Amino acid sequence: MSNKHILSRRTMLRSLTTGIGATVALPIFESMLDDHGVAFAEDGAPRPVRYGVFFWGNGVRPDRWTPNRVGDQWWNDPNEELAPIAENAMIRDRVSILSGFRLLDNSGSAHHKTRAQILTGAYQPSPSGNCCGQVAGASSDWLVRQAWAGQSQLRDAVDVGISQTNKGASNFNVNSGTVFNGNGDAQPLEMSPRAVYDSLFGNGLPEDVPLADITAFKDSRLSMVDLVREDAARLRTKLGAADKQRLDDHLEQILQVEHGIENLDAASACMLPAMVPSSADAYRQSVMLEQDGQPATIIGELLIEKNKVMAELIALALACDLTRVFTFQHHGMQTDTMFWNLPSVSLGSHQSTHDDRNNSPDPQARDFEAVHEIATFVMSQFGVLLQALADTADGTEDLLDNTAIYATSEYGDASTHSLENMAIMVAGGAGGALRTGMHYEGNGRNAVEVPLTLMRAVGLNLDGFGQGVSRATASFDPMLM
Amino acid sequence: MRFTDHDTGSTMRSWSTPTVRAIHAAALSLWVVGCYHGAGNANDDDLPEDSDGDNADPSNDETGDQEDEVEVAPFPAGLRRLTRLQVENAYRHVLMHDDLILGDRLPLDPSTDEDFKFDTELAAFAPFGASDIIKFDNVALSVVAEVFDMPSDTLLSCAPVDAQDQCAQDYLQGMLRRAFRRPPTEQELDEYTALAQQTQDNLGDARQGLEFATATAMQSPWMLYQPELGDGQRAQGEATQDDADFRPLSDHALASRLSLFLWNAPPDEELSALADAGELQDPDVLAAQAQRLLADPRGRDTMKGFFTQWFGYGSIETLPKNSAVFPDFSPTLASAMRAELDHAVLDIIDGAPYDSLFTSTQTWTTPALAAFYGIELPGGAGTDTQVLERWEAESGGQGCNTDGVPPQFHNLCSDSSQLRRTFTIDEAAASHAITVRAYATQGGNEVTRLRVTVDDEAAEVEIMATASDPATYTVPFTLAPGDHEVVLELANDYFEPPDNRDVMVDWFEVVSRNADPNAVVKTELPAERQGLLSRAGILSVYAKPIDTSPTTRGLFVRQRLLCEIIPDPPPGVATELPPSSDDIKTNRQRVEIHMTEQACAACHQYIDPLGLALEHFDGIGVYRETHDGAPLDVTGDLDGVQFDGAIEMGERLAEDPRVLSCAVRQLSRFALGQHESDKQEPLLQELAGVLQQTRSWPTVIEALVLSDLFRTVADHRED
Repeated sequence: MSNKHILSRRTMLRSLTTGIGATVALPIFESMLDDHGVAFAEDGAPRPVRYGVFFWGNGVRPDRWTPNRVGDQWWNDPNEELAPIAENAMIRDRVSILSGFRLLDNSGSAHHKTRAQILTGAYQPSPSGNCCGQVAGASSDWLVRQAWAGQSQLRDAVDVGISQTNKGASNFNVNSGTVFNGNGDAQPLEMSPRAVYDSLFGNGLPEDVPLADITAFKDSRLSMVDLVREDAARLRTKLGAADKQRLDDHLEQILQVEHGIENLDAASACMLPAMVPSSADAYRQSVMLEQDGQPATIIGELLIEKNKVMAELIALALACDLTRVFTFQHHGMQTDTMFWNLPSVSLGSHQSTHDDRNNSPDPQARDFEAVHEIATFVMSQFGVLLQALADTADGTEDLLDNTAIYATSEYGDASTHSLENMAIMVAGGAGGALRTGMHYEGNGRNAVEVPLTLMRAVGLNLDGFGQGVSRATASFDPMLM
Repeated sequence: MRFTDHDTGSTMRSWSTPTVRAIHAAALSLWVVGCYHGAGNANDDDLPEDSDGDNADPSNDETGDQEDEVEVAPFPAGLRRLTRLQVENAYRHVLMHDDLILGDRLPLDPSTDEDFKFDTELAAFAPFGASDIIKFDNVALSVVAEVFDMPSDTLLSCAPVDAQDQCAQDYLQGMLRRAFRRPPTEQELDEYTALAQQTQDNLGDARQGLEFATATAMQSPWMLYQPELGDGQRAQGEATQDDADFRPLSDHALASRLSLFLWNAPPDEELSALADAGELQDPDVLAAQAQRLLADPRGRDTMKGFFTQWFGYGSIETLPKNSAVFPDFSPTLASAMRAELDHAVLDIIDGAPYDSLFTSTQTWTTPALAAFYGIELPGGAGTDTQVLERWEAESGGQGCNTDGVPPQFHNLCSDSSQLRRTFTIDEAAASHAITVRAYATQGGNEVTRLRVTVDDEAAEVEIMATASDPATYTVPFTLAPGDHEVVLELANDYFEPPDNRDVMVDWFEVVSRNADPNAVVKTELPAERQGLLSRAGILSVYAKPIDTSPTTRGLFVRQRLLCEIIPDPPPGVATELPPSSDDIKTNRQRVEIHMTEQACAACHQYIDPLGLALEHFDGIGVYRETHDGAPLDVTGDLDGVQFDGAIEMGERLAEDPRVLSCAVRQLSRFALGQHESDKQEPLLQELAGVLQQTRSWPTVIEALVLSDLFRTVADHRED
């Protein structure tokens, strides 16, 4: 892989088929390449390990997702839904499938409870008796970003989401997802590729500032941060304990703004033309559908286009060491994302898992075919993310080799809210720590062992992960080299 | 607990709260049978945690004597985070640029796993994440630069030479006052001046210095959060009390609370000036400001936003609806449904009685929605219709039974009897329509549909009218100038076995419509509809992509209109319903499966019957007499009160004190961003009393603003 450029020239943020967005040439980083075109190789230092979480809502059809072959080379006898990954020789040997793992806390099986368990290792019921309670634990990506705080050039983590569809008509879930900070708060996901671009590359450096003035520019930018701190200090004296804590948390996050200003030159090295991807609104369009000869117009999300742009932005951020942790939510738990790109799927994602008549005139045709098709599509979209990492050189290897990705959903089988057979994949080599390309059978093991094992593989020293009956203390050793 | 009543001076009185306790008693008795669906208090920590409930059931002490006084307090003091919309308006305000559209350049409001919360509640005490704070930094810098680069001098009307000069100082003073929603302290002004000076020294430009100062203020906690600390003084002449649980907001905090509530925006100049002058604590002044803000277009927009969130129709245009099942559903129709709901809620802002939300026989309809409802708009109102061609249908109909058919009607019974005409459009128009006067014979339980085809485009319309009362049906098309052909034929040839159902056509015409197709006309709803529960928007939102959903419709009533909490389904149950079959046709039959399993029945017995009462309306709100030919039973009872169908259920809800009490809670949650606990319940019940007495929504808004709930806070909130 040593001939690879850090980002292949075909890694372009293309003008998408629908005409949105503008062509953006991603950086080639000549200054960062050594004579052999290998990035960051000048000092021969090993490339950092990265950590990611990929999440999608409403599970799979375990009977059509689980590979038929156990052990290595699962792709030689994959099941239907994993075909998009099995067919891609560039990534499949760096993806492991984990079947037969389960959630141990059976006190509840609603979507938000299983999501909390699979991502944070615990669900804590709300003291209020209200619907959804608190997510008491921190998610694995949160623990990793805390452990690695300040190590990347810019951001401790980048958290993105693709589909913005909610559950039904509620404001439920619009931005909810994968990242929990251990205080019961879900962290925001960025749904706009433009905003991701801005926050990574929009460092506020005016075009007309001569390089010689960068120090002066930084000086004033840092003074801005100081003044925000002064304002906060004055406000803080007036507050109660809870709000003091919240303001302190706010100030802690400002460190990342400061960090970014201090490393403004480093990030600039990654910034090429001022062309940027589109904002989230551009990734919706009026779509004419025809089903059974009936035309209808819907507002469709451009899921494929947005997924691709986000995947490439993540790859770029990792390659430039603007972050070392990412989360990537394709569509949220229990959401009713419409996959209008799949002509035979007529229901939203969540609805499909409960009421999949899928338009068939045959009342017995409730075969959850739509769930299957959506799952297959989501696997292809996960493949796009993995491909973007595999296309990007990183030291003598590629990004996928140096990343550990935990990919999962809140269920295996969502139609029965089952706690068994969770859908779990692990991708990337974690810098050589993970044995990849395997199909492991869990035989009822605690699913929470998987993120624990991954966190340990990327270097975190943890006694365990999660709380209560769901807590895992043992690694799933077969995954480790 | 003591409390000062403004009307009667400093009278202390005890609170007896029979209403509150009655609600809890009712709720908890249901908990015992396995489905708690009581009024929703997030901090309701006296609820039983398990189902044995025997020591928590207040009915045990219904006759007891120890609970005649409950603790009463306003919401705790705290630091309230602005919503995305409020920040956007605050940025417009600080940059004096009302046309700024920032959208998702600003952080989104946080999410919830709960089915429903207002944006103000979601935001109020949520933290900002790292990506949010980076976003504020980015957007503030770039948007300030954009506005400073504009040729207009609204924001900065003079040319600063130095951060210390009069021009720069005046700018900074005004900018900070707008940003912080209060006058800046001298120290703050000094520090922002110092930043401007340093930037000027660094980058050689006084304007750049002001830009950096502005971008800093825009990400200051004083901008992004509203402190509601209770450090104010009551107006002179008002009863003073030192009760630590009722601490008045400062004048500027009160002004901000008012304008954030009614405008989602910072106080304007008039309101700020009153706060500066210390006059806002005067109840008369405060009431007048509340009225002014509510009457302003921004106030109406905000109220519309409140009801949109509450009733959940915000994303109606993007509802997933299966186009094969619901071919009529389109973003255009959905917008018309939204417009109807908007007007229905504005009607109560404009003085219609509050309960008319549930009982009004009015609609506010575009031509598209009128056609959908089967309403003839009076005198073609809103359509500016011009008849281009008109054909009287000749009597008879080849191969059809014409016995008993009035002579001027043509019988469409088969392919050979279809009506086919050509016509020419000379001039372009906004839209066209084919209008048909027709009725259908009633030969069976199936619906009778007329297919209207113009060139290659076909649309079907359900013919409900009978021989005694033929109706006019309008099918919209958009036609280019040129030659066209229209075909009318019977569409329900796919029903087996064919019933003797035919369509009889009197005349039909081609019309052009040049008026704004979105123009809304106020008129009467058809007889089968009345109030919120039979408006198409609500019926579409609370339904599935291919069907109705008695459960989600029932939950809408329980959770949103009655403020009840319904727990999750138990683990491990398959929640899909049986498919329809020869034996199972109606949704009542399908959801009865819920009732056969004890675990399901505990809750579904409270939910589903309310949704089943709306089964005469399909998944996008089209009226239907039957479902797959099976008759519909739409009777039900609302916790013991019997009703038959949507109209009666709406009437029962309009009379239900729980609905009024819930409405007031929702308003308070939206206004203050907090979910009430028992301590606020007595204050809310007072407001519910106002609503019950006056039936006036503006009056209740004013009463809320004047109440201690709004004007005071308790001690700091705890985590």
